[in-house]
Amino acid sequence: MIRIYIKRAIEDIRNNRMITLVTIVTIALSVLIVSSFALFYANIGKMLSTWQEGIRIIAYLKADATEAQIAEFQQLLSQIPDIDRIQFIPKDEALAQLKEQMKHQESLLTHLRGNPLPDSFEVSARSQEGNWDKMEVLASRIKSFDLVEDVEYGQKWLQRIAQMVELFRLAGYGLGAVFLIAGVFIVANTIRLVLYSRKEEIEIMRLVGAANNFIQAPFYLQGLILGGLGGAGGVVILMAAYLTVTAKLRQTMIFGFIHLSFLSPPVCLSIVLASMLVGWFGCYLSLRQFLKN
Amino acid sequence: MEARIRENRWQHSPHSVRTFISKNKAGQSKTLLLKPAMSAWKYKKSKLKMRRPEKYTMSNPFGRDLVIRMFHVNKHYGAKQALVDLSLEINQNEFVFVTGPSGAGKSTLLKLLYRGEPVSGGQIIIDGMNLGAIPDKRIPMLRRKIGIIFQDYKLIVRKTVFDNVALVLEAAGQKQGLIQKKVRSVLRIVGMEDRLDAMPPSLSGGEQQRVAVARAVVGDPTIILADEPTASLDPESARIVFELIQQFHEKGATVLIATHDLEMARRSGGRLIRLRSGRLENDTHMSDL
Ligand SMILES: Nc1ncnc2c1ncn2[C@@H]1O[C@H](COP(=O)(O)OP(=O)(O)OP(=O)(O)O)[C@@H](O)[C@H]1O
Ligand SMILES: [Mg+2]
Repeated sequence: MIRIYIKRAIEDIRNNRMITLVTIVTIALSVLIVSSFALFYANIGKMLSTWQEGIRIIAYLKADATEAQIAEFQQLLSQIPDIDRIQFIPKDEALAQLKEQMKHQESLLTHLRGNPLPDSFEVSARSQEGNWDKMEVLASRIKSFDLVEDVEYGQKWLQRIAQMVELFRLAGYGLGAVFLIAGVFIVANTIRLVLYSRKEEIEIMRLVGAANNFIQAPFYLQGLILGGLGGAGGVVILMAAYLTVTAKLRQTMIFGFIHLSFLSPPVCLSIVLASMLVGWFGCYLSLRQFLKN
Repeated sequence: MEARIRENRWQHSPHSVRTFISKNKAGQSKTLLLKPAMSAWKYKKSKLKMRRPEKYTMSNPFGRDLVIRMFHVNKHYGAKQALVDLSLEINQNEFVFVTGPSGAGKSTLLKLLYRGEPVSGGQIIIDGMNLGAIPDKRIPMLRRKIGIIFQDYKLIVRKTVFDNVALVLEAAGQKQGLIQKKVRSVLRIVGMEDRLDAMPPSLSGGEQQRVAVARAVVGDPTIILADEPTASLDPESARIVFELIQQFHEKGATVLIATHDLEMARRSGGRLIRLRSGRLENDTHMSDL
């Protein structure tokens, strides 16, 4: 039985080579666009979380903090479970550091009277699957202590990139949805054309006692094949593009600092399966419409 | 008159009908024996049950001899009355010609029988299935009891002769081995065994119609319906096709042929139903004329 269905499906694809090809290519391009978003997001996300591991929160203390208060504060901090390492930086040391950093503009600091810098704590969060929210929560918790004047964490640009990536991810979802719908309609349209070219044949099948399932199965199979080939095609093109780009990068310096990887096999498989589902659904739509009249 | 027709029917229901029925009964009791051993799913799929949709079967006080019964059937297309209050009973293994002038409703009558069109009023019962009561999903089951032959053959032009005939059995879910055997044997009977791989457009009209006959009979239908089967054929091809239909009638099928060709009807003998403007004008037997 299955053999008959496959035979009929392949026959249809052969008889409609051009439109089939156009459909597969269109699906492949859609998949390519959506999956390149996924690839970009996967890599940038990984990069961000490795960078984040090195981020520290700096808590600036109020100028009038006494030594006892500072000791008590350190005690409190060490009880927060998310905190890995605490380092107290007295204002003198901070000034010395600053002077070291501004060796060449020392004149700017020579006229300083006293030390304008506050005492501070440098806190490293326990390294975990880099999570901005956690970082923020921790920072605001530290800030809520009376003794703390202000906190500073992460480099601002890093956070901005994270926000952009987030935006990118949303755009990816939106685009994915658009292309998914487009894919469904493209397949629906193709199957509809095939259906109309087989109208007479389907009528005859009905007359000799073919049930709907028997008539429909090859078309569903075609939908799955179109979706599957399109999806696989998209992933393969993306892979080729990825390999070319990484090969180019490998020749430059940058590659040493960033670590890129392609979408994992399960993700690739899901993309192909999703695109098969798109094919199936497109077929469902046009069959439903066709069998109604 | 009425009495004579009845008498004729008796004469014309040959011995083979009895054996056919008892075979059926044996088949049925076998199913029942098998039932407890089968899973529910398997039982549902069993062909035997498919052929006997008990749910839609009406009890028949006259036994299984009546294959087609029409009660006060009306059919109109919009305002156009195609059939008016038509009642008919057709026995197992009868050979019936439906004649009448163009537009009399011959094709419409056949269409109603295979439920190509729904009735507008009245009731049709085919081999125990009430056509008004079966859901659309079961129409394929009805059509597997009926082999249909059209004036324009209605072969699938993109399929080979073999595949055209095999389609019937494939749609009925038969096994490949059986399909191979059966299709070949039927195509041998109609004399097309050496054109298995030919495409229908490459065949002559007469050859195409022989393939269509093979397709109509390959599923062992209870009823063969033919709408002007020989109208577009040369006399020689027409004769061959007609004789083939007669041959399958002798094997037990009930046959209805809509035709203008009274000569063919006369030659063959059998029952003659004449329609005019959608009404039954005359219902006689050839031997009465
Ligand atoms: N689908 C349809 N829509 C509207 N009217 C129809 C339709 N089919 C048949 N009719 C009308 O019903 C009447 C009976 O038609 P039918 O085809 O049954 O006649 P017929 O006896 O087969 O004629 P012919 O000998 O020319 O084949 C005709 O008047 C025809 O115009
Ligand atoms: Mg007609």
